[in-house]
Amino acid sequence: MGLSYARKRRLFLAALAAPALLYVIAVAGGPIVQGFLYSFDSYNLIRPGSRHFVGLDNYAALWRDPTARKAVINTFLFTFGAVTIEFALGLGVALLLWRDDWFNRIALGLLLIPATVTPLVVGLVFKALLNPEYGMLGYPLAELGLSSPHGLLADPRRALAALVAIDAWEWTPLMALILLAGLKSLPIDILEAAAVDGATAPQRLRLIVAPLLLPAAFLALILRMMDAFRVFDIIFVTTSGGPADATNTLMIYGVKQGLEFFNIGAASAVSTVIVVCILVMAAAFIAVIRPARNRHA
Amino acid sequence: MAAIRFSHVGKTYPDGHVAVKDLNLEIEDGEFLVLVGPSGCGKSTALRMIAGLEAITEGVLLIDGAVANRLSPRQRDVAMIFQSYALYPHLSVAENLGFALRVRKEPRALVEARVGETAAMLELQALLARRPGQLSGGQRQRVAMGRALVRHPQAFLMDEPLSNLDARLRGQMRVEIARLQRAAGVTTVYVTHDQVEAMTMADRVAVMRDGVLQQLGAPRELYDHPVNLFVAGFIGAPPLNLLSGALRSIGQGIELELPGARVLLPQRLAQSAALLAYRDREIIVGVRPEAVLLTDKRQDGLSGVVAFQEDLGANMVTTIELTGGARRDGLIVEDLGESSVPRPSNRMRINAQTGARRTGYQLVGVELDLERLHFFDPASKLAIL
Amino acid sequence: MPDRAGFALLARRAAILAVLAVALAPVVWLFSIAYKPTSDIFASPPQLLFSPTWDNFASVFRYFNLWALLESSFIIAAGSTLLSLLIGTPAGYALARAQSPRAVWLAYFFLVIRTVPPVATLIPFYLAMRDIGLLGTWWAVIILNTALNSAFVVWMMFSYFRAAPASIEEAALTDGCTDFGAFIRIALPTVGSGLIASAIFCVMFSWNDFLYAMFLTKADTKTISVALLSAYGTKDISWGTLGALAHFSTLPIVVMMIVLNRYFVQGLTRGVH
Repeated sequence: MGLSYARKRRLFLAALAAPALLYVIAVAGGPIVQGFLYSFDSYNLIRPGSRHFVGLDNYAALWRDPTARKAVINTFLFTFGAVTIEFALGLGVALLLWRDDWFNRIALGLLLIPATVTPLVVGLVFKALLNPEYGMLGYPLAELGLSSPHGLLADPRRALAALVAIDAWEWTPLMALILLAGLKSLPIDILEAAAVDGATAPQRLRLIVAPLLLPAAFLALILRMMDAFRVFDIIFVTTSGGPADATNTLMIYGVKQGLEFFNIGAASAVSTVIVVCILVMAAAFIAVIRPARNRHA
Repeated sequence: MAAIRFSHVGKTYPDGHVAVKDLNLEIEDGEFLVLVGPSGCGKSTALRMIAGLEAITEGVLLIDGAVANRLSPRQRDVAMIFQSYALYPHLSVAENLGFALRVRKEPRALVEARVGETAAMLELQALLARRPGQLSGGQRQRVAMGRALVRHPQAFLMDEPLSNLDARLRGQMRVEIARLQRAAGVTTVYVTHDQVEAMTMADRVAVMRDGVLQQLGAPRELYDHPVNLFVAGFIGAPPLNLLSGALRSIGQGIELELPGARVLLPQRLAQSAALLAYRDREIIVGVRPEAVLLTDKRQDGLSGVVAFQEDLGANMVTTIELTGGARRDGLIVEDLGESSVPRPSNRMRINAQTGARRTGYQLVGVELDLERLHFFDPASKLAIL
Repeated sequence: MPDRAGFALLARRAAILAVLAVALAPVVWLFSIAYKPTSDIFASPPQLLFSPTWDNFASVFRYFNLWALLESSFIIAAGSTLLSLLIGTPAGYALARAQSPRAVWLAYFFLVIRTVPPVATLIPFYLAMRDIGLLGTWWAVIILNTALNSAFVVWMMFSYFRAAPASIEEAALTDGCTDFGAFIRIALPTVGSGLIASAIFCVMFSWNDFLYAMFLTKADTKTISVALLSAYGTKDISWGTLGALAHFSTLPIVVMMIVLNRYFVQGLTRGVH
């Protein structure tokens, strides 16, 4: 008879998964590992012949470099700021759109448009809008004294916050969408039971909606955290890390090392740090959320 | 047609959970066998093992004499009806019905003919162009049945096919399924947790619990001669009344000591060796609700108060709370649901053809038909007599 | 007569309109500047009214080979999307149906692959493409994008298949399908909206990417995103021209979104559970 059916099926599933696994490992795996190994070399593209092994020197240099340290802080600030705002606003919008009627359906469709604009273009648009001389937003802000005469993006104290706002503009609709889907999947009878039991709307929100929304919120937050940490496009075209490194994030720093200074060793070290940070962040987040998830499961 | 045979079949999951343990079961060709038991007893697993959807970890499964353990589902030529019907949502009813035939590349004419005759048999002609999403529960159930019938397979496997229907439809479909099976003569294995379905449809019933086969036999056999406490309590509605008591020697006879009463057993029972072995020992007595009579209160018999009455039209089910006697915790009611922990209770159920409507909490006497008692060992739970 | 429910509805709708205004105003502005003469764009203080002109569109056609750009973007997006769906979907199915906890870890592994920053990984890939001779062709970008997109597709389809009931596939197996037949004829049609949602994500990723495309293409295989970026740096290109170019870069995606937004919505919610 040959193999049993159970074994045959396992082979079948393995065969289905193999192409993707092999392809990803072959195409991306090699470069990823190679790229990672660069971080242990002193490797400059201008002088490729002088490439040699230096161990952890690149990482040590990063550790010592105040610009790099600032970039780390900025990146974390940006990530937490953006994700928190996007979550809060997204939840608000989702609650507004909870009812299912024609108005809300059209609104939802239109609301997704910011997410479709190329991040690059988003950056350009807001760079123009925030310009203090001719920008629709920047001019009034400067005139009213709410921003420095050079505009929000040129203000070292406000630039990062401005970028958080831009990121929020682009991604809040997506957050709202995910949370709205979570809201819509809530079992109606539990909510009705709570209402009959006398719970007010805020109470229902806090005691019933919030815990049940946890799984939806969880994955949305994790994905957004991972993406926000690697923000690049909008910063690149608006401030490019300035002014005075106020908006310098790890990604920008890394890209500059690689594409401006051609210091591949450093760029690779930055990349590794980014991946490690993301994994640590995700692990920490999961660890914090898990007890809550298990409690409400 | 096929005979199906389980020989020391077991299923242990990787995490250690044992779903089926040492199952020995022979299903005859053309037979309607019902696998019944509470949820988690392994009946669905056993069914899926026949279909090939569940791998067998121990033992041998034979279909039509051939070892089937390693065969894929498609090699076994069995048709399965799922509890959720599992209709193909993107295909029309007609396409659903004809799917298995088309997969085996049967000629179009044959497919159309078979689909047509099956649709006629189940009154689905008007629905052939619709999708499952547009059908009612009952209609979907018929399509699921049609899908199996159209194939003329070696065996039908049915996994609780009626549990999603309303009570009335369920009653109708029970008859329908039994009738179709008899007409087709195809070996059928039917899984349910509803013992009424088991009793009314089966040629033979196999009662399972916690992965172990408890008893196999014709419905009447299980009803009249349950082999252990579980089967006794599981089969029959309203369920068997169980009382804990003791047997005492009284001169030449044996007396049954019950909560609040002592009953002299008839000569036939007093002479049975099996019972005599339990002299001066605890014993569990089972008595069917229809083997109990309500009388006016008597001095020396069981007595209680009427707790509740259910007037079902053709008969009256009365729930009595026994009173009196030192052993108030007398009755055992085994909870046949998720937990099988005996729960002490003092309630008895009586099922009478007619009955005077008794007012609540009226004191009544309870008389047991001594010819129709079941006896069980309290420790092993096995039937004694 | 004061109607509390009616008032609440009105207030809610007003809030929604306010949110929409914030969400759409920049987009409207983006499209508007394409029709503004350059002088008006930089007018200080900014003007709302202007006399429209087609000049910017004319200069787009003058400076850029628009059709070539769109062609490149389209081919890269379509190519990587199709390939990613082709290899990613079966893998997602296999992970969903494999009854082992390792499968979930593997799914997460695919998700994490996408987070690796491109900077250092680009160089080995660049060198590899050069050695094979594919550098500067669409293939180089497609090959790389497929690796990243398929990882995402595996994750998405894994979620979709996990949510689909296995019982219909089991029914297909007992009905006589082979494992592969059950996958193709029964499982795939059931997750149709998941496939569309995955495709949308892939198209958006490839279309919007400029980093990889910039490095791996030549002048004649550039995508529109790369053109946008390089245009931004050039002194000759005005904001108006950029706005006009952004039309062509953004509109296809916006239209796709509006048409298929139902699947996009479903795609996100599935990925969540």
